[in-house]
Amino acid sequence: MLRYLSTLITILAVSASLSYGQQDSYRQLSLDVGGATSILENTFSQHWNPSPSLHLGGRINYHLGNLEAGVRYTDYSANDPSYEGRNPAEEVRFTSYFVYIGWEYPFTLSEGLTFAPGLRFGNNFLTFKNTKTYPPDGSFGEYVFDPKESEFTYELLTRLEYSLGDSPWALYSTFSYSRTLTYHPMTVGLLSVGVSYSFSTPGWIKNFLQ
Amino acid sequence: MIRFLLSLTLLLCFCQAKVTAQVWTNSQDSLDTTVLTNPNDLLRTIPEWDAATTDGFTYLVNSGRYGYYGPQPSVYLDGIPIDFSYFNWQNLNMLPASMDHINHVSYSADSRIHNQAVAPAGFLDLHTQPLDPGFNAYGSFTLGNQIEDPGPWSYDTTRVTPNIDRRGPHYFSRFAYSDTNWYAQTQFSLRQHQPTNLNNHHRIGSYSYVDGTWHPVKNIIANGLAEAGYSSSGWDFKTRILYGNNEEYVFFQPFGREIPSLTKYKQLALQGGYQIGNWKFQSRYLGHQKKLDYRVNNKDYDFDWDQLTHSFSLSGSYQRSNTQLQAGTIIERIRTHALEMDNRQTIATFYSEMTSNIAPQHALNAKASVDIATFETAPVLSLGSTHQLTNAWKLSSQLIYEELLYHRQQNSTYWLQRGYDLFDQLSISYDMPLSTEKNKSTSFEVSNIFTLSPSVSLNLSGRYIYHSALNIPWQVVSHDQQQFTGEYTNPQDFYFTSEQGNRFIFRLSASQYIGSLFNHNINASFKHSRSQSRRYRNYWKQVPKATFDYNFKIKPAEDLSFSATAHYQSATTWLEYQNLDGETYRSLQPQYPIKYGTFHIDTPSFFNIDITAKKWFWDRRFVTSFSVRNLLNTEVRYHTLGLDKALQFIIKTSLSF
Repeated sequence: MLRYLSTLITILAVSASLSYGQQDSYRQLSLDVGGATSILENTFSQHWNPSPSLHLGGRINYHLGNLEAGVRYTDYSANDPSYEGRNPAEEVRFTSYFVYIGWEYPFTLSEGLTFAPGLRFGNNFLTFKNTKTYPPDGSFGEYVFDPKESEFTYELLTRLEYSLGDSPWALYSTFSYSRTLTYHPMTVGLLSVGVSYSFSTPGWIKNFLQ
Repeated sequence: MIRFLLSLTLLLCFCQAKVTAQVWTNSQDSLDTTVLTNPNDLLRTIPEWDAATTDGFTYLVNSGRYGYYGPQPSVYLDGIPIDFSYFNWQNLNMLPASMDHINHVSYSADSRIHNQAVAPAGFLDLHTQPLDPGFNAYGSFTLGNQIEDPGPWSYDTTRVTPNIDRRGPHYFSRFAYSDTNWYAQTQFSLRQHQPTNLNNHHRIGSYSYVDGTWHPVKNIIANGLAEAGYSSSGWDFKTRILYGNNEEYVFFQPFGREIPSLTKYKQLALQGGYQIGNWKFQSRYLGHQKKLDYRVNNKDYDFDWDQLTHSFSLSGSYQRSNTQLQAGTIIERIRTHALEMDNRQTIATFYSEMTSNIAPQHALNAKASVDIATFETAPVLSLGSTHQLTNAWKLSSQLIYEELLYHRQQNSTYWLQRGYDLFDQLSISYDMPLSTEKNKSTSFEVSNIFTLSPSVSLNLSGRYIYHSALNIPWQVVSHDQQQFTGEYTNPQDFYFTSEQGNRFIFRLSASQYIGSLFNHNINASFKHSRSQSRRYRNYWKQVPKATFDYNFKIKPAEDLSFSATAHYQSATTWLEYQNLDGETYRSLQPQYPIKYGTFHIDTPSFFNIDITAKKWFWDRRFVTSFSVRNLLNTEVRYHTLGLDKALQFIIKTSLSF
């Protein structure tokens, strides 16, 4: 235990010291646009059918890695015929906006090719279009579930990115494992592809971030 | 656990670095505000104190001497006391102060005069950082959420669970102007909380169905203050107007559950001081009004409580290089109008204090005060010494004899005996005679502070308290079998008796401060009771015997910090609720589907971790912080009727100019 704690504190102190020495934070900003599709088979995917996701994000180099923020939109429709809402004739659907911040650490595999593991966390804003109601258990009338919910979500990801020569454009592919902590978690595995455009960070953004 | 603590202590001793020295003591704490989102979170930063809650938002505090049902520690904001205790139920969230502006907290568990006011159960003084010259503006927004909403599984009859609502939002704003000699500021806060945990939602929500309408089960707290100060040529003046309005559920211990109430607080403070040479004179007028008004509920419960206090104080102090003397007087006139009762009281307090450095390494201190009410007096005497035995070892000791007026015990029985017939309204029968004794106790504390290196300090202390008379309110509630009503508890015979017993408290704390880059500290405490009185022993079973905290903060960059807090607490037992043990409770009627839980009088021991990341933007004007509380999602429960806190996340943003 003693050795473990000593090692941990040393690592934290050394990495902190190293990061103080890095002066080029906020130098480059990358904007990402991509699409994703669900590839994980589990209880959630058996009951809900996701549309392809649209992802918009931004990354900026920050000390030992990249700081990132973004949003991913997905539309889900019910796979299970027993699911019905307040209006039985209407389809049961919900939309998900995952708004996140995160951090990734890129490794250069070869010229122009980088591999970056990372972590994202944020809120998953859910909007139900045909909310569920239950028959009353008592005498106070029917109970309608809230059409809007938000829940904490974390996501582990790996990104493979290839820069197209000297141009500011790059192609990337990401696998992410996302878990929204509802009572029964919503677990999603996504494979995404997209393009990113990198440029020097404008002064006003740099000033804001510092 | 002991092996772990020893290892950690050794580690701290050997981890030396080029650092700034910092010594942690029992009375002063360096506050790390990164995990604090509202004022009640401050109670979590004081390792020597215990706090119990039923809703996760308001607390019963044990500062060591009187337990959860005794008087609560006095709260000060920049030296001016604020009384947010209503029948020993404390809600610090009524403070119109942002945690971002508090740069340190001083506190003490000892009963004493603090800053010209009586603090019968110790004090907690919040010190805000000085204003920047010129115009200052600040605003913050905080939102939290507990996991375990149903999400899309609400459509699945085999997986559906009730909705869990959000915490907050909390808003805070401050506008201020500071010049060389004067400043003025206004602050306003609005905090909201929805007690929707399975354990308390049905009980609290059962009050809310009135005339065919469900009223929101929600606490809404709006507070504000305006303050101005002037200082020049030895003179300093400060005035403050403070207002608080709180829609809440006051946990009334003699009743065994919550009562909807509008708690209101108003304060006017005027204070002035003059320093000439070694002399300093201070005076203050403090007027404050505390009200417990009717909040809509289907039982028509109403405290109908209105108390107006005028307090005048005058003190003088003399300070030389090796001697400090202080003496003063406080006159309080209290008028209480509640239901049919109209009561007037006057209490005079005289106090004096002396500290003398009898030798370069040795100091003595002596304090004496006496409370004089109409029919009784209560003295407090204290004698202590501090010895710097070696460069690295400081030893201090304190002997205190204390009596506490029945009036200052803040118990509802005091008012019952003066005609406040709330007990009748709530159908609480009580067993006569109710004690009218003063609380009397003698305590002795020894504290050793070892400065192991410029960066590392270790504090080992032990305290013994002998309660020759401790008034304990006790109510073994019965179980309401009609589950659908949501009442669960009914009051039976209420007792208020004076008990004798002994308390032993041992503490270990250690800290290492490596500049702003990295600092961490550990605190551990062990408590034990001995008494012939079963009620005394049962009373202190509500307080955990052992607690352990480890906090660390690392700042890997100038604009980024990470902090974490690990907390362990041993099991507690709430024997007043023994008739509920094993009984079932359920979720609120309209929170379909109905979900069930089981009452237990033992709250389990738990270990939980909170983590926070904080990032500054725009030259530190804009700050965002993200906290995850109860990261391990363990059962964190402080009271038999209290919520089980699941993992929560909190986002806070603030902007300042």
